[in-house]
Amino acid sequence: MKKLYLITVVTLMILMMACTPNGPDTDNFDQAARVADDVQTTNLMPWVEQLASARLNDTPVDNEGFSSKDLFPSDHLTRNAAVGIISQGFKSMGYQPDTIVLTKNGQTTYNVVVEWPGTTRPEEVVLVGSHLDGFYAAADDNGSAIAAMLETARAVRNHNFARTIRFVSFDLEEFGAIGSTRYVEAGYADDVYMAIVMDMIGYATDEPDSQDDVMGVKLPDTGDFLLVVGNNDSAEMTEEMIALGNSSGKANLVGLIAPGDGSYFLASAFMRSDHGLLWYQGIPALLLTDTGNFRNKNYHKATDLPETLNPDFLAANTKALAAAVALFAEVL
Amino acid sequence: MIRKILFFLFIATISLQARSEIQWTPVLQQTAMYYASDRVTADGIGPATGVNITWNENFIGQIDIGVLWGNGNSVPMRFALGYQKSGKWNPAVYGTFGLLFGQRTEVLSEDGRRPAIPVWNAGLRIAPLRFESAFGVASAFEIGYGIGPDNGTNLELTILSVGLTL
Repeated sequence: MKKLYLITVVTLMILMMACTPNGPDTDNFDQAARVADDVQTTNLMPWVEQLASARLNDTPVDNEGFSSKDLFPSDHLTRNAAVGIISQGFKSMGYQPDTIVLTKNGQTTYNVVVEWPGTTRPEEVVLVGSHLDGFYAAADDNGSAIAAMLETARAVRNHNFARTIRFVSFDLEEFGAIGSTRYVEAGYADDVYMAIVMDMIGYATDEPDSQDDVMGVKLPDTGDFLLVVGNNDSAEMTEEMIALGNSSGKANLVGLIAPGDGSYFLASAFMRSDHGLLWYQGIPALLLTDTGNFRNKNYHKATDLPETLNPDFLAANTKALAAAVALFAEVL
Repeated sequence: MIRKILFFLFIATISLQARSEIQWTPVLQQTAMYYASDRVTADGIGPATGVNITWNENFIGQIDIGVLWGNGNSVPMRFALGYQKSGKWNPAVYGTFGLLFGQRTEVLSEDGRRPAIPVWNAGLRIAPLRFESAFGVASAFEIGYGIGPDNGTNLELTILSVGLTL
């Protein structure tokens, strides 16, 4: 009896020592949410449609070394038209886009970059990224994210921030995050303080059982949410973005934190985009995604068309993005 | 964390030694586990160590702690009480309670809060291939099933467990 008592006491002690983490800091949420109010949601789908239309007439990327197969139609990957549209879009907002050209092993990448300089700590950069290459019309993957990035870039120009906001369209993500890898390896990310990377943020449905789990990780059954993925380094960012996005009613966000740097085998599905190398480098970064092929049956298919997207979902996600960027860049 | 665990094992060991009719057996084992709930996913395979306790011939208990590799370093601490058949082949059935520490994939609440540490689970474990001799105990392919908070499901497979009677 005495033994049972001891075991019970010790077990209770362990449970009492258990950690229930506190919620995120909500300071500056109101100011950040106000930046989201400057997002013009009617601008979004026209960007998606323009990009999709241009891709269908674009010349595919040389796919030598990347043989085409199911869900990886490498002979239908385009980027040239997207580089032009994105650059022109930034110019029309008053930015001066820089196209970083990096060549290695005979393959050239074109990353399109603009900055909105910070006022008090400009050396600290908040990177907002999305890949510009895509298969077929690529409305969700990744026209939706490009549209959100462009509209956020326009909205932030009405405000001043402590940190610099850098918008980067990465090339050749579909061939293995080549553009972002070269960008990081060439030292362009050395001043990045934190990052938000988007990959497919426009597809949602309210049908039950429309959302698959991701490699054993249970997610809500209905695919009507945006998944915000962080790792140990970006756990605090994840908490803040979820609290900000959901509390302001701007979006339906689900937050997920992968263990460690996110590279463990059973969580590796969450590294599948341009944030991967940032995680490896220890740079706090979030991935925003509708979970791609775990929800969208048009993933990497000719049917990934603008009409399959949910404009309200894309609009809500863009507002959540703008608010998060404002929070992390410290809107003044 | 390690200090808490060692302290617990120390206390458990001291308390058991006080009763002479109790036989205790240190065990080493290889365990695979998959725990998934709406908030937490932890899984992997790895080694564990603990103490197997037998009293009145048929009543058994086990406390063990391990490390699971596969999705970071998860640390399951398991408590089990059960009943075994007498004889050299002595299959057993346990009621189990587990605490899961360490790394895991987390889903946040709507207001951005992370799930608590540890996560508990409770369930049953059966050990159909369990054998005992004067030297100790060996058991293979123990299968466990449990439930936890937030629609949690716990699946365990103790691939091999070996203990030497002291």
